[in-house]
Amino acid sequence: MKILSVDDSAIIRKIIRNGVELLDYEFIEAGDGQEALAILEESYNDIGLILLDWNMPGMDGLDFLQKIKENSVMQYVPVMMVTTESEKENIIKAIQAGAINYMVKPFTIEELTKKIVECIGEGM
Amino acid sequence: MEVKLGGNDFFQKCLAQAVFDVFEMMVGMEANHIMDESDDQLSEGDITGVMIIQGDRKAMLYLTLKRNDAAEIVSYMTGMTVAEVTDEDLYDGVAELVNMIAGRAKALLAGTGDHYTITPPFTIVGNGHFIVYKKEVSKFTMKFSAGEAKLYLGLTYF
Repeated sequence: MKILSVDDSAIIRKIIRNGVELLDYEFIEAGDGQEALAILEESYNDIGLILLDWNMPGMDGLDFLQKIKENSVMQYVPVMMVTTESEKENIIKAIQAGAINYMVKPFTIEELTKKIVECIGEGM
Repeated sequence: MEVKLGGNDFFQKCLAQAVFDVFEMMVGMEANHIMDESDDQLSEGDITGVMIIQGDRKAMLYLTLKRNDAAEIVSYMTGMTVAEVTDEDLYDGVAELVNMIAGRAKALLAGTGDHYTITPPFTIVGNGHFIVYKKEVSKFTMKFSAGEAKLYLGLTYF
């Protein structure tokens, strides 16, 4: 199973990669929503979870989330937000748009792996 | 309690706590506030991550480090060796640190009545550059250590 990290920061993607590989999942990455959409169109069947940043140039995380939830096949790929956005209204907005979990940066690697395990359990 | 942006101890404490939290969680290092130096110290470094804050007041938050210190911190964050850390990693890493510090401070201020938005972070690069303010601008600077690294966190506002 693959886990897709969508974040405009290569450093954050590297930190997330470390957590994903600790769990023995395959890690793939995208620097923005548009790139992530292209990856999803090709291989949505192999992706077990998307870890999605909110604030990105071009298509932001919420737009990306809304876009995939409108798609008849991609909508089933579970999404967890991983973002500095911590306001309650934004958390509600993301959950209403279809995110199954939400993690605020900064986070520890233990929190990250625990949340991934929770999400993959829920997504199956 | 109504918290105004800058100019009070509570906001400064939130920013310091945000530095501690980001370093503990994302870097795996303990950051310490160096208290024995003046808050008016001049920040000097090679890489500065900056965010603009907009709300009732307008402010700029920055984090300044020496290149070697930034490399050590990014190495801790990512598990890469210092030799593997590229310039792009340094610029991205410092920008992300200031992004997370601002985000964490915003979370710590939740419920205080202080609302603001933050711009995407950007990075200023130049060996031995200084951050200099106009005299009449309100500001504070805090110096931290993390391992051998030294870093300056500053806020200027009006």
